[in-house]
Amino acid sequence: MAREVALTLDALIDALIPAREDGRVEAPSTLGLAGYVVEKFGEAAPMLEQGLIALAEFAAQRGVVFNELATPERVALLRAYDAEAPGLVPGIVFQLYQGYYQHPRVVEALGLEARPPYPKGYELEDGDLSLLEAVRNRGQRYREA
Amino acid sequence: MSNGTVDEKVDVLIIGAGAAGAAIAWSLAETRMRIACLEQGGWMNPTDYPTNRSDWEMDRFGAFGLSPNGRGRSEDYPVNDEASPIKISNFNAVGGSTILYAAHFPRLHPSDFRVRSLDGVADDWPLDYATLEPYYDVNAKMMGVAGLAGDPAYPPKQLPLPPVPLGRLGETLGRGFDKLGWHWWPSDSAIATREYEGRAPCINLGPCIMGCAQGAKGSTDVTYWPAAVRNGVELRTHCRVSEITVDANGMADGAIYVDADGNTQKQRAEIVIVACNGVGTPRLLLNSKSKSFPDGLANRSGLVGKNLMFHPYAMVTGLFDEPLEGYKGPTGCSIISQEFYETDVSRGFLRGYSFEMLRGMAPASTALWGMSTERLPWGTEHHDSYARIWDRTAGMVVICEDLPEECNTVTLDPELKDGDGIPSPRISYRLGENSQRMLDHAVERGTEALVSAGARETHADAPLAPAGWHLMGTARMGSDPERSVVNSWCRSHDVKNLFVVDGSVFVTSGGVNPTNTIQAIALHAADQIKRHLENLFD
Repeated sequence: MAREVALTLDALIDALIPAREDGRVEAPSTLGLAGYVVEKFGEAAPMLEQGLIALAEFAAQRGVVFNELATPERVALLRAYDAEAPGLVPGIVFQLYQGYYQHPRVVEALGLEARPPYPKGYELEDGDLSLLEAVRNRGQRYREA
Repeated sequence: MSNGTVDEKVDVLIIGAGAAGAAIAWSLAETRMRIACLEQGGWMNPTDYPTNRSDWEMDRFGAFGLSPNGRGRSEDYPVNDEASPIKISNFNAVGGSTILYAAHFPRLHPSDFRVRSLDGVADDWPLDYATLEPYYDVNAKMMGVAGLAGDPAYPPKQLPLPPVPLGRLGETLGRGFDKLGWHWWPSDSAIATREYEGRAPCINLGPCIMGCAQGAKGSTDVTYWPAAVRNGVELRTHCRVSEITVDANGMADGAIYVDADGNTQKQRAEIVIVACNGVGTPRLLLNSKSKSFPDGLANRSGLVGKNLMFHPYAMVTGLFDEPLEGYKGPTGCSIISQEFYETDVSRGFLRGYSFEMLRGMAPASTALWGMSTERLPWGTEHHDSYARIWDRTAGMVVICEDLPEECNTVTLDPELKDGDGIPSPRISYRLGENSQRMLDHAVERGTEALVSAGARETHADAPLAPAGWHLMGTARMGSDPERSVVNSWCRSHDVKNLFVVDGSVFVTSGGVNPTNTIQAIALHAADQIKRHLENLFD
């Protein structure tokens, strides 16, 4: 991917999911998620590239450079682009959400351990089975047959 | 016709190593008959299951997805389900669909066997709850079923293991049902909640529906099959059966299959037992044409492939204000409500449904759910929006009884074939009026239950398109050979040495997961075969 196009992708994904204000998680481009998105596009990567070039041109026609905009302005321009040329943004969002919310830094920021579920598993309380007394007291519910 | 070798004759040939094939193999093994089972899939390796990896969540779109049409596994065969709003879900392996099921394990109710007599629709089964009860009990021990005695929605039953933990989520939902005065109970689950018969206990990994890395979930590769193989059953994997053959007298005499090396073989047998479930079984029977059976094997009634029943599902998800720790615990097993199970005509439909409460979602799944329900915008509002949904979801699936209709069918597709050139199944199904009214009622009541439990918002999907995982009715049992395919112990009316022991034989679907009943039926059939062994072909 040409450098300019790669920079547009970085800027795009950082607009889709901005860096957290509490500083606990960096923006997606810093987490390396542009590469994840390109990999997931697979054979459709050329279409992704075309879409990114079109986005940069869209910005240029409005007298701005997409990569150089502040986040709120970038988001606003992206919404305008999505309204005119739907397709690129939802496709990237679908892949980005998967990559972002499986990234260890993000998982830890959610209060979870960044590890596979197995082999440690999770502790879970048995719960208060005395709540079922009310159900028992309502009596038989099945029809005889 | 076979163009390969012919195997030495066995006494019993079982086709399919899933829920039913495993149970009947284990039960028949005590006879010391020579028993072979042909299974088109292989043994699963628990280290391959997604929960061994940090990026496990998205495997549900890949090799551990629900649909055979999207998975890309060589063991799959394509299914043409374009003419159905509900898409087929199955899995070919030792263990069959129990590899991916959620292990929710209720029994049918006594009334489920008497639908015609009680409610004036469909048909009665040729057997009843009392007949299957001892086999449910055997199955509970073999599969390791966890639950709590005393459920007033069922006749008394004892289960070998304590119930799956409620957790914060289960208690929250249970309190919601209590406020409404509705039934709820911990789910019967084929999950080892303690160490059981050499299996490790459940450690609440979460996504049981992508295989259990711990081995605590009762799939038949870790329950019945080890015992059956120890007792002499020969299980041959990666062997795909294309047809069952008959002799000049119209008796089944074996099956033609493609083996693991791609060679066509014939396995001869005295008795043939089909256990390929509600799509695979009619597909095989319809593909087994002969002079004696020009319309497909055992199909003189014309009913093979007809009366396909799913369980039309709805899913209702609630958003709560407090964290529920829903990513912990067996995803499909927490509590069940059968408040609306038995018929009440004032509701506007016959028969009824179960609510099966679902745990919450892991991080990436939460994000995709938020995206699909337009609750998770991208941009400057993204993080605040995500915080409102992360670990705040709990919900339910609704399992609606489906009435049998002959127009709902499995046939052979005229063009689509699998990798061995065997015609694929074609599904033709429409949602009946009764089912649609039931779904509408269930969504309203489900929403009411979640709001009662504290949900601030709800979202419903109905019918759930990917939920074609309960496949029933396509080789129904009955006493009348003109209106059924097999008798009460699963023997074909037309072919005395041919048996069908899977969900195909269901007369009605009930409003619960069928696996427990499928296995009880298979165990009952095994006992009857043993009882009638001396004069089985008379």
